[in-house]
Amino acid sequence: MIRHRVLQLILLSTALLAQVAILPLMIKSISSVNALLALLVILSLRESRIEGVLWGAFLGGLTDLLLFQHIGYHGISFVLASYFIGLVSHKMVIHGVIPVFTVGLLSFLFVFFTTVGLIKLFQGGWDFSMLVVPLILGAVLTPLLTIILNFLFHKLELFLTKR
Amino acid sequence: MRAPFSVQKPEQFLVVILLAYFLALGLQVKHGERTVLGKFALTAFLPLLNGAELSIRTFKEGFQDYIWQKDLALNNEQMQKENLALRAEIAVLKPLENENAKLRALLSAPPPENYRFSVARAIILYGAPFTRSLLLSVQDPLFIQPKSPVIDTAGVVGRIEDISGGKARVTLLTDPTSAIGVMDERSKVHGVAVGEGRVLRVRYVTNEADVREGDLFVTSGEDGVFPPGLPVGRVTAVEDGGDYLKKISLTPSATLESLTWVEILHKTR
Repeated sequence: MIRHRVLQLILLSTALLAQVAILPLMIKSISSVNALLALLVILSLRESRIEGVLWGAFLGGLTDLLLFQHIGYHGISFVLASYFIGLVSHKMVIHGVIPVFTVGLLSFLFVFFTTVGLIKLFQGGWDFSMLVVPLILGAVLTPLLTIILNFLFHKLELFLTKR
Repeated sequence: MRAPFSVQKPEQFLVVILLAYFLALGLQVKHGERTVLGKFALTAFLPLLNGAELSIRTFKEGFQDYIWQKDLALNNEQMQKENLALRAEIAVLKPLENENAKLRALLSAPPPENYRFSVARAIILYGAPFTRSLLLSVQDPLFIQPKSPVIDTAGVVGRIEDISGGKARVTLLTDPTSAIGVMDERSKVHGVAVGEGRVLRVRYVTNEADVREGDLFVTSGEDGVFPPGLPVGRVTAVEDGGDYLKKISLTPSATLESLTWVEILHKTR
């Protein structure tokens, strides 16, 4: 159990590092690429549904903090996303690059539109035309990040199990 | 992992968390700033964010320092080379700047009525003391006719004598074969300005005419070549002659010795 938590902590640190430092260096325009969402997809696929929801609440709140928004926009969308992912993974086995990519893409789109909808609901007006580029970038890169983190998770898991 | 509470259904967690988030959001938006919950969450995550930010900044700065030091020597060498190149460029550009100012002055002066002009570059001023010609490089020789007036910003330069292969020869107004119909701008006395090498002589002005030193003579337009009103020269000496005609000397208004760009006038109708 401790090893498992260590693994989660390593992945959380990696995702945070990617979100705060690496992605802003790589992508100069505004982007909604979300490494924490990629992590959430992996954790929701691998952990129990309750833990997935808890991770959703935590990572969503963290995303809001990192973006300096009101806390809750990503919190709500992450919680809902993690719940649905857990629901799906409870009913079928999701394994391999393409299924993980697909779940990552669908989760990103769900979180993106839910967050935008919530912002519209609570704060009103929004220039949606400026969201096109972030949407495209995020829809491509977030699922890719999901695959990378999933691969990392798998390798670290093997490494820690052997020890 | 087991749930930290006795509740085992994810839907219950979902509803509780969603309600909490909606409540928090509503409060934050209503107050227009972070509520106590937001501040608490921020305080809770702050060490994590600070740690991440600090490690990233350290990494970035260390990496940038390394890159900068490596680039510094190269940049220094490059800048020294650029400095030398720029100095050479300034030396070339200075005369061009002066030339540009002259051209601007030339182009800003409107041509006389019913005339348009083309600009030509003065190549060389040549001739014996009493033969004063100027060779021009022209861009549109097809439009230039012999006898076309040539002027600069200060006044009349001369007239086109012949054109060949993008080059035009100008008979300067100081050439002895040059004769221009002129008029005293102040007293409106008419005469003919004839070239005498360096200066001009105004002929056919009677002793009774009112002409004084310093008067400006301009073209009268009577010769059919030069449009009226162009400055020709200023009176430097005037005296009565024994043949009832005044002896009037003019210094050309145009700076004939240092011409670089001139205008060739074309009649539009």
